[in-house]
Amino acid sequence: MLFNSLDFAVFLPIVFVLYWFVFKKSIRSQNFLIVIASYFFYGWWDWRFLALIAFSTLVDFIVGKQLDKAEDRHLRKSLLVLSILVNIGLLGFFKYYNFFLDNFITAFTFMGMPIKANSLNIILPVGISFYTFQTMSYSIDVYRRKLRATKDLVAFSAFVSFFPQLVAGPIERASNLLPQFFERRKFDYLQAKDGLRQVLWGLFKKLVIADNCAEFANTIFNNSTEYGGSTLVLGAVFFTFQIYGDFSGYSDIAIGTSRLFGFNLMQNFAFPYFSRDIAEFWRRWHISLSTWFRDYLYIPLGGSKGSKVQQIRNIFIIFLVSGFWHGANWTFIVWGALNAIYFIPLLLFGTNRKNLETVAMDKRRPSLREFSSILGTFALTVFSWIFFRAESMSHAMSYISGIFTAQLFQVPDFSVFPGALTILILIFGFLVVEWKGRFGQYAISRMQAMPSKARRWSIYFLIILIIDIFGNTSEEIEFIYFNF
Amino acid sequence: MMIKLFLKQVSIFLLLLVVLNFLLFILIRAFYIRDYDQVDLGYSEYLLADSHGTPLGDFTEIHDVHNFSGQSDSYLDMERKLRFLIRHTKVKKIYISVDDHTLSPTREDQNNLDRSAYYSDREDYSSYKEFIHDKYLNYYCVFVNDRYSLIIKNFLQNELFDFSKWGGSRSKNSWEDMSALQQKEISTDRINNYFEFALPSVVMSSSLLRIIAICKANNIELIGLRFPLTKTYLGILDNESYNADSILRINDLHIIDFDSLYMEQDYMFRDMDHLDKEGGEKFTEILFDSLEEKKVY
Repeated sequence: MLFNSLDFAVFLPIVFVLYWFVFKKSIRSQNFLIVIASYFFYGWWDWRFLALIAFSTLVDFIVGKQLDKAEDRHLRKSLLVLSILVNIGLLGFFKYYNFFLDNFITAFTFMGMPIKANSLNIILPVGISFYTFQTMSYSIDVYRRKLRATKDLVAFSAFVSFFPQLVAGPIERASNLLPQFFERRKFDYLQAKDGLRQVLWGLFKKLVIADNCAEFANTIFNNSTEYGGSTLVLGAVFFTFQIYGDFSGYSDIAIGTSRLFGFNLMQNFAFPYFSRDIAEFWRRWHISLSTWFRDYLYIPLGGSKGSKVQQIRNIFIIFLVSGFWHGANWTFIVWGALNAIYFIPLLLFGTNRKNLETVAMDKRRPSLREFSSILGTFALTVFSWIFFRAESMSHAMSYISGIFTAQLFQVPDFSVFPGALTILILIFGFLVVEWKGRFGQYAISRMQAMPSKARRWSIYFLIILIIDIFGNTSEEIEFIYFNF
Repeated sequence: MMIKLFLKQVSIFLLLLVVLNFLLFILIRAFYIRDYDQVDLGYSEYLLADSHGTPLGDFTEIHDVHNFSGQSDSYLDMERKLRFLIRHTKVKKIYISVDDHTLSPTREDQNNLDRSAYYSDREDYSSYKEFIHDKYLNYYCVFVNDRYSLIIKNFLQNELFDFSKWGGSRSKNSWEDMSALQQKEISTDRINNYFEFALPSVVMSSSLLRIIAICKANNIELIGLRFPLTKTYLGILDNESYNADSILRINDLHIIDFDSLYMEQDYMFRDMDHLDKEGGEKFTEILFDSLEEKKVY
């Protein structure tokens, strides 16, 4: 079920009413409802893969219990390895099987030893990269004795399958989300109101920004050989806003929906396109995944400790793995490597933790220096997204070589893209709102502080109107991260 | 307690949203629906056509025929209108357009189903859900109807966001004033739009067959009309057709074919296949004169 569908608009109020009125008597019954609703939500897309979630849940639940009990180091390690193998195994089969097979065939053919093997027609279960990482984090935290294993299968199932964040995150840490399933939930008026506001903003990002940008980005990327340099740049910029609107929009809807049920999920995006360097960008983009890799991969590898060579190696590892996490394609790996390359100078000069504060603190506008840093970082990001969006490495390379032509300095022909100017105006407006709201959890979170209710509500109506008029509501476009 | 307050606030918000929707609907009604929901029920003969029928305006009324045509009306829209007429009038005769393009699959997207829902009734739908959606939700709810949003969006884009139009007035060339090359280009675009598919639309064909059956069942005389076209358009069209007229012929119904009536009179046209107002007036006379003279084919 998609957040931007009528099905969800019917589903959500029903679950909300059941949750707060019918199942309110005990935490356990509320958790039970969450499991049922979440399985229904997921099954709406494809019920066959529910077994996969159930299997992953059961494995980690049992492993967690055994890990909690076991004192023997070897046994504990074996149990952890079992959990990781099962989760990575599932992910590997569904997501990477054909990729490895194709590359093995290519490599053996290249070495003069052609092999024959048939690739499988495998459907990628939606959200598999997200819930497997979430359950793995549970097993690792229990292994590290950071968290006690739960004995409540219903609560654990609810934690794994919690519908707002099941298919595209945020990838919650068990230590943050799981305890919330054991706390008595009291309806919080302000929290619920804030949740609805965040859902509204998420819908705006998805339907107005992302889905409209998608139309132009797809046209330009799919026919890249037909366009000149400046149009190709425009296509990359459209994709840059598409992916941000799409993914951060999803996260906003997920976080907002969770708040309606009394849950607090972690912030997943913190205005990444206002970052002054790439290190700051990665502290602000897909935070739940970045911190996952930091906690469970980067730090165990040694993190920023050790020699510069080791540090560079660690940076490359997490960016390459992060790229590979996104998809079984060399383009994602190169995208990861490119970001690592961007990061290395900051690491070498020791400036990777220079910009920890939000840009232009207590100021309305950035300084010229800040502005140019933001612009520079944005340009690097736009460039790297070309690899992310391209169908293949050859497509990415031809796209980039198409940019660096004489036509790069010509104004794109907007008459070929009716409506593109309107979208650019909307993007500008969107950036202004994001800039003004950059100190909050999401751009319009500080509207609560507005004293005039009439003014607040007028803004909500205006957003709804813009979504209705400019939003791409005629078709339900899937979120990009459903594919990861 | 708090949840009740929350639900109360949400309800008020939704209520205000309904009010906003109502205000927007008034705008939509004024600019988009306009007189689409206007029909004179005092006639026994009606003209059902798409935009080809609209230039005939009220001139048909001199001949006791009410022009019930609508821009982009498809056979599905005409079918709804026909059923409406049967329910509310003593309709005896229907003139229906059977031009080359009327069975085009393009008509499945380019139609007036959102507006013609006004004329529909429960019995026109296979399910109650469909009826409620089309007749009420889609028709009255601006936030549900994508076409309404598109109209507002296009208006804003064309009038406000298109900087080339700022500070200047636009002039539209009449068909006659256009160069031969321009006429060719526009005609080719139009033909490409309608004739990109090899076969006629099954949906439209079925609807036309239903219209024929309904007319037979209700003793309504059905006459097919083929409207005049320009020489340039006819030349490029080169006899390409989805043959809506053949369906009528197979059913022993009359066709009045005027497609080459004004081959040499470009001044009668607004564009490649639409008469202008003056052309519409003159054509009405010829149409009904020929009917009186029984020049039906």
